Amino acid sequence: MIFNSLEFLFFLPIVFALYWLLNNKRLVIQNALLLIASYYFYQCWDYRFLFLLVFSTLLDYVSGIKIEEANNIKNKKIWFWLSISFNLGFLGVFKYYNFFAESFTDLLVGIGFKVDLWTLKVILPVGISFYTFHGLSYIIDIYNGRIKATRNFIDYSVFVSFFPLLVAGPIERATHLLPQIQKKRKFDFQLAADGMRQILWGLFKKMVIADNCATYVNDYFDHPGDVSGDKLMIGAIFFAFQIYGDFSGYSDIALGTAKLFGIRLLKNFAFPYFSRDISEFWRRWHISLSSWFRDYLYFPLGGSKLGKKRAIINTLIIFTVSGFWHGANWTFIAWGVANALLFIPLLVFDLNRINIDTIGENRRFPLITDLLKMGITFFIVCLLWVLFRSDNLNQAFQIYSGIFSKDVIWAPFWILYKKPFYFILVMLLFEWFNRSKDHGLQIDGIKSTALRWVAYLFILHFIFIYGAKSQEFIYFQF
Amino acid sequence: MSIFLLRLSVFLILFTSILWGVERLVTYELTTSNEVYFDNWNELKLLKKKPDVLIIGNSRAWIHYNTDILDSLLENETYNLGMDGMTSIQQEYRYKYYRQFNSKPKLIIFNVDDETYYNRKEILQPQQYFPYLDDSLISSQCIRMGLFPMRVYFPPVRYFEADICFEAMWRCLTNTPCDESVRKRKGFLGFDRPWNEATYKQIISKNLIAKFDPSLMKRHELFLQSLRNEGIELLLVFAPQFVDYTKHIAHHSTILLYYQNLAKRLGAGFWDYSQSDYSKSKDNFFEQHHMNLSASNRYSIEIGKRIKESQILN
Repeated sequence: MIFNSLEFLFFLPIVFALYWLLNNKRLVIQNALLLIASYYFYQCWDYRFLFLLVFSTLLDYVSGIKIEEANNIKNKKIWFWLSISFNLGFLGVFKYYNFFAESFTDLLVGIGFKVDLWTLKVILPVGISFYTFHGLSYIIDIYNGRIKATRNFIDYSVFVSFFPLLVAGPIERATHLLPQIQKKRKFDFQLAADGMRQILWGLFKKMVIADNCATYVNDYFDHPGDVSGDKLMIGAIFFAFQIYGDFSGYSDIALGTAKLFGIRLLKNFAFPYFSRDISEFWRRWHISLSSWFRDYLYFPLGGSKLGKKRAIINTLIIFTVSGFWHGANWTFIAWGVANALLFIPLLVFDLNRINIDTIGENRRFPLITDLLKMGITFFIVCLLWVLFRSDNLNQAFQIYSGIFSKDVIWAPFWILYKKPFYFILVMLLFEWFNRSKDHGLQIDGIKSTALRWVAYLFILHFIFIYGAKSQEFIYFQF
Repeated sequence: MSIFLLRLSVFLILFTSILWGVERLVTYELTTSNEVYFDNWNELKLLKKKPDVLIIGNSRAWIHYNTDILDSLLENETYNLGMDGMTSIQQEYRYKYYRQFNSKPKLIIFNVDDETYYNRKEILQPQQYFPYLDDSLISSQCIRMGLFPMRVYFPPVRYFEADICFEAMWRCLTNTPCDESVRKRKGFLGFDRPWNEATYKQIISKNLIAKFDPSLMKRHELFLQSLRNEGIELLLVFAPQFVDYTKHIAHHSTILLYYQNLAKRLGAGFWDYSQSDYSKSKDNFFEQHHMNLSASNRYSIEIGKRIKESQILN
């Protein structure tokens, strides 16, 4: 069941109605409903993986209590590492085993051995990277004494499996979400109305921006050798918006849906294509993952407190791991490393935190210099996305060689003839004027109801007429 | 909570009402327009001369049978009902739709091929059917082929994601002329395109198997029999297809044998051009199934002359 499906259109109102009908009952019943709904939502993909999810949840729940109750450091460590090993073990087997087996085989064959390693023929359980990270953050926080282990299994299960965030995030923290689950929720009109707006905005980004761009991207990138440089450049630009529309659209729908249930999830995107340098981009893109790596990997490694040299190594590590988190392929690792290489010079010259304010604050339009910086950053990001999109490094280099050919000068002309270009303009306009808010359609500042409704109808008309053939959310594969 | 639900309901009612109005407008404009795609259907209601000869089939029908040439050779009015990707059951429904507005023909040429009885579960270019979903003949076969039933039973969502329909409606409203190069003439449209070797290589690299569904074969035979019972002459024709491609199709000879026997049972003719001289040269084709305009014209002349000689129409 995906967010832009008919099934979800029926599922959401039913769960919403039952949820608020149970509001006067005990909190545990309301949370139990959320859990049942979440497990139903998850098993719509493949019921077999539900067992894995329940096992992982149970393990972390028990481990959390055992860590807290441990009367000596040894027991505490045993339970901590047991949980970490199982979590990373599942991720390793389901997501990375084949990658390591195949890479090892290639290496051995490369040096003259004849081997045929056994590979697993299993599909990746949807959302495994996300719920594993939920569990890890919970266990690490208990181990470090930042939070108390919850004794309520239902509450903990809802924290791990809450259906809006179950399959593609945002990656929540127990410190942020668990207290909301443990507290009685009251219906908040403003929050629910904004949730509906955010869902609408997410659907626009997914169905109009991402799915329309996908048609061109697939057409151009599937056979890059037969496609001219200008088309490959347009493909790279459209892919940048496809992945943004797809993933941030998903996040918007997730955040909006959670708001309907009186729950606020962590913000995952903050208009990343308005960034003026790559470090700002990474503060605005997939925020819940970046901050997860910062808190649970970068800081424990010493962060920037142990000197520049160590900070550079740590930066390289977290970008590489972040790339690898996205998928078991050398292209993702190359993408992570390339981002690190662009980030490190900013770190070395202390330029990584010069753009932390909202761009064009108190101005209607950006300064020319800001516009230039945004353009350059966007161009760099587009080039990096090519690695992310390619099936292998050869294909990426084929695309790069096309992009850096003389044909590319026609790209600015031909892009004007592509429909998604105009949809992107609409999205950027909305996002620009709401760049200090949570999402592009947070127009509750407009006093006139009629005007707001016209804006909703305007967005709905794009979804209705120009929504393209539905494609699965890209981040489901991670 | 109640205010939230009230406002949401009012907004949804407003939105649905607007959609309903838009649906009526688009349907009206498209069912009365001569826009490409929709003229395939609208023209059937407006034929001034009632055709004596019909051609029925998929894209191989509308690309290969030049109605002007057949008109002049047969001295009878002809019309081509061929449409992209139409399986036997869709052809049957299209004929029935045609008959709602026209009298029975003297002769029907059925263009048959390796895919006639393939039970396709999706409609090619479904948007062309949307303005006609109020017609139960069209809607029932569309639903059978996987069209989302809400489009039929809840008109406000009929044109969901149907940008081609909206663009066509916009051209109608603004009197913008259509692209004449893609307009069919009495159901025929030929193409002057060169052979595309790259696409061909990709196609033959796949496993090519003619998929015949026995239930469709049975139903089609009953349909053809009902036409014969009405006194309509039938001719089954396997139009030229590139011979090298045919070699890659498993069971092609079995298929031909089936058509021969079918024609015998129906008392109809069966003409096989899949091994003819047309099929032997790439120069006649722009892709394996479709001949270019000049070859289509030559082929139409041959078909016209052969029908005349066989005196089927007399």
